[in-house]
Amino acid sequence: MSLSKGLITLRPSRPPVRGKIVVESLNVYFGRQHVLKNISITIPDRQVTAIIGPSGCGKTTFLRSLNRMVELVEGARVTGKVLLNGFNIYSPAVNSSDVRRRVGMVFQKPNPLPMSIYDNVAFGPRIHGIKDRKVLEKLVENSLKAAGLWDEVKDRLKDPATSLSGGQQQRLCIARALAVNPEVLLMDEPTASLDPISSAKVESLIHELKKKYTIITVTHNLQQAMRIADYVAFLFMGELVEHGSADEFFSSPRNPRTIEYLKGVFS
Amino acid sequence: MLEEKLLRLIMVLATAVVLGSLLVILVDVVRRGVTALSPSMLIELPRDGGRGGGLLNAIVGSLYISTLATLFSASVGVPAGLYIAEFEGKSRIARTASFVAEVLSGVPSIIFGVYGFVFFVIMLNMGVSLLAGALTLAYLELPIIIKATEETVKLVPSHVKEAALSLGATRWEVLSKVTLRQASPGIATAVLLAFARGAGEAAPLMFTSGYSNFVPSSLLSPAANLPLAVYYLIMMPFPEAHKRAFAAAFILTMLVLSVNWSSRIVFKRWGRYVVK
Repeated sequence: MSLSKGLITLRPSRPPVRGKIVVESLNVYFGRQHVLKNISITIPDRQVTAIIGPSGCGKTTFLRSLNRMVELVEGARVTGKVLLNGFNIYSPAVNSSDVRRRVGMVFQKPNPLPMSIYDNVAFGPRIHGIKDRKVLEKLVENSLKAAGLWDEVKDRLKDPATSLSGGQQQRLCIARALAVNPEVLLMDEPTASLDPISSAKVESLIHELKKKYTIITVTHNLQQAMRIADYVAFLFMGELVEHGSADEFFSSPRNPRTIEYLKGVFS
Repeated sequence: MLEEKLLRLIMVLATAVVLGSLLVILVDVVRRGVTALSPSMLIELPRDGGRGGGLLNAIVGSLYISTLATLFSASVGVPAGLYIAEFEGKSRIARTASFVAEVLSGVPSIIFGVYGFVFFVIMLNMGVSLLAGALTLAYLELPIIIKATEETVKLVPSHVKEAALSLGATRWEVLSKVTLRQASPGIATAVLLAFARGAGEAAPLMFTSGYSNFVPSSLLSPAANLPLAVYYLIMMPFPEAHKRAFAAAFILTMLVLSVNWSSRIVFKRWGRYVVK
């Protein structure tokens, strides 16, 4: 099975591409509500893209439309294309489970599964068909190391995941996402519920992870976006107002709404 | 201030009334039960129509009937509760089942007894038997298990399910590997509490399980049980029988209390991994 083979090595050996994800005229509706309006954007490979914008502008919905989690909302309708490596993830031939394996997700609040630390990380590989204990052990160890958590938990892998601190739980969730060897990591305000020290750890982890993974993160915190992002996209009322490299975006924004937002006129 | 004190006094008094009456019953059962009970009563069958011998028939009968009833009930009730919790929004059957379970839990237990007699004993020709009694009791336990399963499954936080879905788990994998795991301590507790509830019921068994002075030898033989032992023995005009009635009441109370108590231990143990 090629899928489970792909899970085993944590080092993707693929050539860099220009647009890892290409979004073409994406519209999302919840019932009659038009939540995302005709969004087109190219997300660069192995860089950190930060999605910013005021509350309720559709940041989370946008993130969730990149791994088809948006379809889980009752009454959600998606039009347009999201191309991952050139393949439309919304094409009928594509399996949502496979999309979510390739496009991992970390949530705003750490959400461990009701099981041990080890089983949390092994959950993904197991549902994708890896049964060999040795392989699983190695995968769990590598994933926890990649998330910078291994040294803190290696002697208590059987403990409940909920026995970890909030910051550790969030890094466990990152390790769990990495264990299925994704290509893209979606992060929905991953530090919003963490203390400053844990946030700093997650931020430096993001910096480390972008060497191997394409990272798209939603953030409320402009300082954080400046620290971690290579590329920034500004959403306002469901529209993509402006996007570009972080340097350009923060030093010379073009759209008046972006300028106002950056000045803190509205948040 | 005065109002606050007055309200508080009312609450304390009400609590004291509840606690006091419970204690009176419990102390009385224990006091009379312990003096009446002898070790031989636990291992001997009755003699002289209940005036001598022990309660082995009722103890074993109660364990058999309640265990079987709980097994029947859990094997239908847990999946039904899961289904209701997962599909209530989409399925009319699920909503109907939920409503029926609620109605069922309000039906007096004697009605279950009459229904069991007509359906199992007569129509299905089981006769008054261990099986007919257990099946009737299963109906009484069913709403408890369905409702408790439904409630615990509904309480599984959506962020826990999303975690699994975001890793590529299918809906079925989420249900079987995550939702059930998170809900299992609650479900196990509900099953044990249903057992305790069933063990204390006399009315559903009155016309269905029959009564016998022997340990049941097959599913189709009549079986005694502790609640009915209390009832029959206390109706007899002999002090020796009364002694045994109190002994049976004591054993039954201890059985129910220990199951309730162990359900708490199960909840704690199994709940170790549960996400709050």
